[in-house]
Amino acid sequence: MEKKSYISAYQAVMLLFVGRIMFSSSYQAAIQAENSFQDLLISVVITFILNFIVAIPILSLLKRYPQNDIIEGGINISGRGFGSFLAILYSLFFIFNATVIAGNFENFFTATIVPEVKAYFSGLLLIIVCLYGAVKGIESIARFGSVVAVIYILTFILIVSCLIQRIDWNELRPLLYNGPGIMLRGVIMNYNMSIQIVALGILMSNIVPGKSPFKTFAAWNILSTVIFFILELMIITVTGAYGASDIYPVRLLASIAQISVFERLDILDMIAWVLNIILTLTLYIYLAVACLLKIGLNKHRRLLIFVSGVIVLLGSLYFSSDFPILQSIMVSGYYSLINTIFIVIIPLVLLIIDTVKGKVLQNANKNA
Amino acid sequence: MRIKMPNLKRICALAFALIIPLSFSGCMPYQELKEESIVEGMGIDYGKNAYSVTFQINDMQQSGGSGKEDQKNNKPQIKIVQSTGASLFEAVRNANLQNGRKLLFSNIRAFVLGEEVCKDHFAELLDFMSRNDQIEPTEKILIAKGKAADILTFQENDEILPAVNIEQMAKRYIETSKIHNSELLDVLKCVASGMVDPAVTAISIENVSGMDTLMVSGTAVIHKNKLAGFLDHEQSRGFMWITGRVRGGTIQSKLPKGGTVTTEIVDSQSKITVGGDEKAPIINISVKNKTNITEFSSTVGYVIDSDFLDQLGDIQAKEVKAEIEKAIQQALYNYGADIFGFGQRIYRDKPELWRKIGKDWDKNLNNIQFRISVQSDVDHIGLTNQPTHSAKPSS
Amino acid sequence: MAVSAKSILKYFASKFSEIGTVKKSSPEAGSATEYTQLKRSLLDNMTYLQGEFDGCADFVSKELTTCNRKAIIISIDNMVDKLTLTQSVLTPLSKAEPPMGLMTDDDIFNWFRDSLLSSADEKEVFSFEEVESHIMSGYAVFLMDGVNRGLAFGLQGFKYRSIDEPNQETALRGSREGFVEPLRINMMLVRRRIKNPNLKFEIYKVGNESKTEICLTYINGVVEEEILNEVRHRIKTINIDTVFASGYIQKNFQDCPYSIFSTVGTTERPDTFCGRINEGRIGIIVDNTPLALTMPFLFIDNFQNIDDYAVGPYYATFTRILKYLAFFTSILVPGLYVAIGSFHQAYIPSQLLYTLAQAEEATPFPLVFEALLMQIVYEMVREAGLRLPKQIGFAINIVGALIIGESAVSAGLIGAPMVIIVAITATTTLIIPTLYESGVVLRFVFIILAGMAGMYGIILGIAFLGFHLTSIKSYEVPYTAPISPFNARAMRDVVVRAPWTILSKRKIAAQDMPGSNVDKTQS
Repeated sequence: MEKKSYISAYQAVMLLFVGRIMFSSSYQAAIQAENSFQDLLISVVITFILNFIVAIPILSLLKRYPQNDIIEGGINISGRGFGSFLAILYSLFFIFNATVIAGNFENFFTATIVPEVKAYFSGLLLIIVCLYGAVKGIESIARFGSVVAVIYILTFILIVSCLIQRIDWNELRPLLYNGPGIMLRGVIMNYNMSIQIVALGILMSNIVPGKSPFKTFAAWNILSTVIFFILELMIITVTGAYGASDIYPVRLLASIAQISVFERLDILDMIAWVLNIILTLTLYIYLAVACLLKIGLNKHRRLLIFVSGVIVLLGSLYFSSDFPILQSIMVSGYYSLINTIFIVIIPLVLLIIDTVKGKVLQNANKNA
Repeated sequence: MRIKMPNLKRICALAFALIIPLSFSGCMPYQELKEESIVEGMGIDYGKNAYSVTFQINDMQQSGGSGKEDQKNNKPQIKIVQSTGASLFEAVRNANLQNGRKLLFSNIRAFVLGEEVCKDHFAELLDFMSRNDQIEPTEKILIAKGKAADILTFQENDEILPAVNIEQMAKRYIETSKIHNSELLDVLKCVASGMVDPAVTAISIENVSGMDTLMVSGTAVIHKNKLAGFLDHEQSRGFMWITGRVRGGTIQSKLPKGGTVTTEIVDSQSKITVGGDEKAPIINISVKNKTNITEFSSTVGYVIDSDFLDQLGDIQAKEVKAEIEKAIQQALYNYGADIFGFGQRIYRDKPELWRKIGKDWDKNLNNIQFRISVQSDVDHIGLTNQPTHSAKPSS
Repeated sequence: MAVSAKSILKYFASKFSEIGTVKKSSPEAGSATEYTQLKRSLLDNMTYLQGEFDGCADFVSKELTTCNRKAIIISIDNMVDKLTLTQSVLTPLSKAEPPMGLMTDDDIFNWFRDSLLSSADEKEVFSFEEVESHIMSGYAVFLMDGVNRGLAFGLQGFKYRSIDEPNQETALRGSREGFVEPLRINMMLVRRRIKNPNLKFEIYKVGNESKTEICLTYINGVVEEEILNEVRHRIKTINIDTVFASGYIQKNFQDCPYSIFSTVGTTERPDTFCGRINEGRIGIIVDNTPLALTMPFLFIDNFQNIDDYAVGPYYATFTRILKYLAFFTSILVPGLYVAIGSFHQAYIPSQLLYTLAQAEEATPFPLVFEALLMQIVYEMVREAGLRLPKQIGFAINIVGALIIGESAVSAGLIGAPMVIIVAITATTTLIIPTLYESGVVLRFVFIILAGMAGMYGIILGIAFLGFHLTSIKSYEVPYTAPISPFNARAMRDVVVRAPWTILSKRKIAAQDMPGSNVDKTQS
């Protein structure tokens, strides 16, 4: 008898943290903040509050049906047909996010690690390792994820402590000189990055029973926001207006940091960051396939993983060959609307159907 | 609990997954160290509508030879490569027409920009450096009086590479604080913000007591993307006082009764505040520093007590104020360049004021009223209480 | 003639004596064996036995007459202590005067069994199979005419290797005893250390031809029933002809036999063995092998040594951290050197860059080839040193280390930094002997990955290794617990070795590790 694999709430928080912290600053350059760079700090705080508000529908749905995630809740509430439609939608959602991550990584690879390598080479190796991880299952991903998160936090602490002497607090003033435009664009960008609430929704069925989804979500939100806030603070105060146009500002920070004879630390940043990417990509591919497995395609698990890997690879090749498109998608409001459908509207619809059904049943019981 | 036994499918999948990457092993460019030249210094000039780049390459690899004896031979071997191109990157690549190895930029000590090229194309030079991933943002950048090629090919002794020498001289700014230690990152930040004019260390070949020698000779001032002029040592130190970067150096004070006291600067802080209105903005500069007495040459006898130290502090403060005023005079009024960040200060402290005067900042510069106050403390006096002098015979 | 009348007679006699046999499970646990009852007639018994042991030159028998009945003592030559046999068995038997009232053969036999022949290890045997297995375990069996039972005396006197310090797992502050080959002596060594009736030994026989005894050891009350039943089930499914070393059956107990890392631990020391059993693990001692198996076995167990508990906590913590660093250094450093030297020269600090550039200048081979070459040469030298006699082996090690490395550098074949890397690798690998095999394979894989794809390849390799390590389970306990499903209390003995005041608080057994799926019946 195969026992169901459970992960602990701590591991889930670490997994989602890794996904959030990864690319948060890559798309800043598209905002073109320049002198208003410090406004992005306010947008981090606003996104923190916005995350709580936006997560309410999903969290209430999870609370109503403990031990079931969004898809299973959808099947319970609205039947198999609509549930299957939802599963396919969410699966595509995760595959798109995985494609975005892989595309960004390939661009990073070409820009910094080795310029002359063709994109499909790096992408292929990445996908192979991610497929291996996805086949191993959520337990393995979660355990490795907590180790990677700790590695990232240690690297982060090292780099920040090396850069403290270069902080120029004056860079933080004045706030909102050019109006709230940059800040709002920052909010949109951060909101587009915070899709991990959906991942939490699907992971909920794997978390050890008895954990409150709200507490898990709150822990994730606080941890990610604190670390991201400090990171953003360092970027603004150390690199100033120059960092606003850099596509990979965290790497820039790491290359400025110096410890005695090591004049640049960006190799440490690269190690932590690429491990993050591998982990998040594996998680998203796993979640995409897990959604589909819930509607009954259990036997084709390996085939589904393979197919989604191929789709991600092909999509990422397209994105990496045209990186500005990816940047413009990530800071656009239309993409936020699409995200809102997945994060807010679908669970809200499910909740409404559930409430209506409950009332109808109550009335039927009263009448009977 | 199950024992996982392999089946044919899994083995095939694993083998497949291993063979594919191995077949791509030719795709990754394998760059051996033996095929790379380590670039120590890079000098950029402009002439005849083309960039002329001078590379100072550490040539120990080709002359190092094999075996252990040669490895102990520490004489630096320099190879100079000069190439031209329509853009910086093209000049870099054209260097390979003369040098058989790929250039490795990660170890660059200093960038030297020629005076001519900075007169016209300053910001364009920086783009190549900021876009390349091998160049660290903390590299030193200097502007040469004259041609950069002359600086980089100048070798006074055999023991040290010129580029290493330049970098070490720039690092020693603490000893005198008469030069500004500019890094690529500082210059990029200034250019990106658009409100501060960059100040870059200047280097030149001077003739000191009959011998030509390399000297870091002050600060170069850039205004509106063009080289505006140079500040000499005193004016550079004034600039350092205002921006709070003085960490070392000496101040000489002449005492009214005779004698000179030389003190060593230990620490300094500067505070700039903004006041006034759009017609007459007021900038208050307040500088505090701490010094120690290191040399007291006087034929007149003194006793060093608290009153004397206060008096000395006042005299020092006057000296410092003079330096600050000289710097402001030269940079702000003569060159019209706001290298001190006064504009950025107004932007940060009083944004409304900046909204009114920021657009015509070049003109509004001249309306600024400065209130400079310096407080200088003398802390330690060394080991003796009086200047060394022959005691007066008691009368 | 190959077929003589006597042998035909013996054959038919044995067939005839098989007619009354009943095939049922033998009284010993573990395997269902045949059960052929002894006959009353001594002649029949001896015919059968001599037929079985026909051609075995070490099968000896001494006939004697006691109390006017024929009897025989059979044993395997050189397995029995002849002096004790004579003193305890033969002499009393030859002088035996049965007391009044004992008339029948069975009564006299019972008198022999209960009063006359008082040996400390005395068993009554009922079947031919028991007789055979006992005499081959060094017992002397006494058969009497007219009785269908026998007496087996445990007077083993065979020579075995003296209990000596184990040469692979030495401890500075532990005992100097290591396991030896005979099973019963090893069981004695374990029992001396845990003087608790809860320490249980269960004996099974594995190996279709060799019928080797193995002993399942556990402490009742700490071990989990689920794991115990699983191990018992796996013992029953062992289907192998001969078991000459514990490694032959090791793979039967591994959950993932094709992984690089082993989920079954081996040890040669009784104190390590007892320490592990005390944490709820199950031990298996195999006859004729000094290496005992313990399961479940986690990644962190590779780094725990008996010495860590005998020294103070500060030094023990320092040594632990050193061991973890050593393992990861031995795997990653050659690969990192190759990756950074071949692809990412930008990250090397300046002074080192000059040294490396000069070293690389003189050598004809690319870095990855140098690394692989040096590692292969080192492994060859090591293997040569292992198999040769001590004097020559020692010389080859010295030759290999000093002369090959130095000559290669002087000749300009490899660079001096590579020799240093190999020296570092050689030293750090030997700090954790149990992970040696995995370490070698991983090191080669990382060098190849580094040569293929530089730093990126190494990161991919680390990710692959990470996914693999975290997916292995040892009897439903995650292999990387308590590092990966993290538990702060269980970490008291992992990277730091907490002082005994903390270690002696509530015991953390193997199944208590975080993330384990074992159904717990113990508190």
